[in-house]
Amino acid sequence: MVLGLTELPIEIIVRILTFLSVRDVSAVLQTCAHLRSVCISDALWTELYKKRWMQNEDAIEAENKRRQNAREDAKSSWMKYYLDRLLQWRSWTPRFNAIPSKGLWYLYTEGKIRPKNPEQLPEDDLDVLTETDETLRDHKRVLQLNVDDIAEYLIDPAKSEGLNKRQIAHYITDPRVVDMGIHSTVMKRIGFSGISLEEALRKFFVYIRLPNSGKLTAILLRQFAEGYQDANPGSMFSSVDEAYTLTFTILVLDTDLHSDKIKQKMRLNTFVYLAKQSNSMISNEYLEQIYHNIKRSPLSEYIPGGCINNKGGLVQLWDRLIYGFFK
Amino acid sequence: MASESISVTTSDDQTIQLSRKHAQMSQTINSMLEDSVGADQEAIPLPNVSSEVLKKVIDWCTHHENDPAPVEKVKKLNKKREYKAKNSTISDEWDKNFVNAELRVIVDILLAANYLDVKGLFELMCKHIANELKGKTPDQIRERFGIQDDLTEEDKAAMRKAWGATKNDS
Repeated sequence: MVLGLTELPIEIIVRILTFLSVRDVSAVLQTCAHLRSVCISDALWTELYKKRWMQNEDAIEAENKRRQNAREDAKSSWMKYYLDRLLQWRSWTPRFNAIPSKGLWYLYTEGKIRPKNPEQLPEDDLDVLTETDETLRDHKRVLQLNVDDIAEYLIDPAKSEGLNKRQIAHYITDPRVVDMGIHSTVMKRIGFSGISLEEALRKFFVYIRLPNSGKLTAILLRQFAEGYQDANPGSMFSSVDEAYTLTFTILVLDTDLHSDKIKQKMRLNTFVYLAKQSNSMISNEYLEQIYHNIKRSPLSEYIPGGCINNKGGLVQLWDRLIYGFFK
Repeated sequence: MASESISVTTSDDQTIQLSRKHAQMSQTINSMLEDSVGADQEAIPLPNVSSEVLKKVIDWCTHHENDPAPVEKVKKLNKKREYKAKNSTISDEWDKNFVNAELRVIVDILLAANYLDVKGLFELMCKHIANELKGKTPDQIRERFGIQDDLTEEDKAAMRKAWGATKNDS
């Protein structure tokens, strides 16, 4: 007798199917009537549910109990319950936009982000009494998550859809978060290797916008410069500081050339002069190239509304920079 | 004092000797042994397992006889979420080779492992079949497992529509 998949006892088929993804289960479901009945069974979907959301029996029992008490028309299969929850997860971006750490923890509870240490579950038993406690707890929670996974969700275009790009900047420059090193993973993920500083900056603005405050802008640009230096160890900048200052000068040039409010546009030799204040080793050709590229296409054209439409922060910094140069 | 080898009778009426260690890897045989202390001269009947399949099972038990026993974690983690990295990757090279067999043999071993309650082997066979199902279209699955297509066109159209929305998710 030749035994096939369909002749197996149902509990064994369920066991096999629990190793599959939703997509694969849906393929098996479309093969024949017997397998379809297994593929829509509660037995399978409770297992899949436990596996995906890392739940134990208690949660399943609670849900089953809720169903028993529910009105007849409110009862639905576990498959529907699972798929509904699967589709719900997309709403993580509004959560992040409101409070970043809440959004990230939500991703964890949805099984999208792994814990930092796979052997150890994040601790989550801090008593929350006040609002400060809550912020602290949210922050502690995120500290226990996998940084690579977080960066992936912030940068991957499909996963970060709807994300406020300025909120990303606010989050990765948050003093409590900086130590986690999310920013360096984010920079690595964007990838600056083998391109000029100006190209890197354009790429950077596809994913992240400048924050609203001058102080955070300075931190962010510094993180960018670090990321650039890490990706290009043999670049013309001998230190992160030099890359940072030139980044800054480029942003100033961009604002200057493309802002309607500024009538007297910066000339090439002024730009070269400014740039050379901090690093006289940079070649004129490199700076000319940057000047003409920026003149031709503003950095902000990559982003509707412009990357530097928060003039307040930049002007503060501009002042600081100019004072720095001419002190 | 129990003897060091156990004899079992398979479905095709062959008597096979297996070591106590291997026999105890099967929860089913193990509990039979516990139930019948002193009567271990008699061969244990295994009416659901053929000698050919049993030999395969013994092969596997021989290779894995020194594996640490699976730890029961469920109770310990009950108060918290149970984090179990469950995926179907088969990491052991010997196992990979072992599952490289005809579907009929795989299914027989799976059923035997289920009947004899050899956890590791059962898990391995399930993983293997899951891997065979992965990433295939319904047509490819039918072909691979020789499944008769008994769904109507309307059924299929309705299912495609219902599943369209979630198809790209994980």
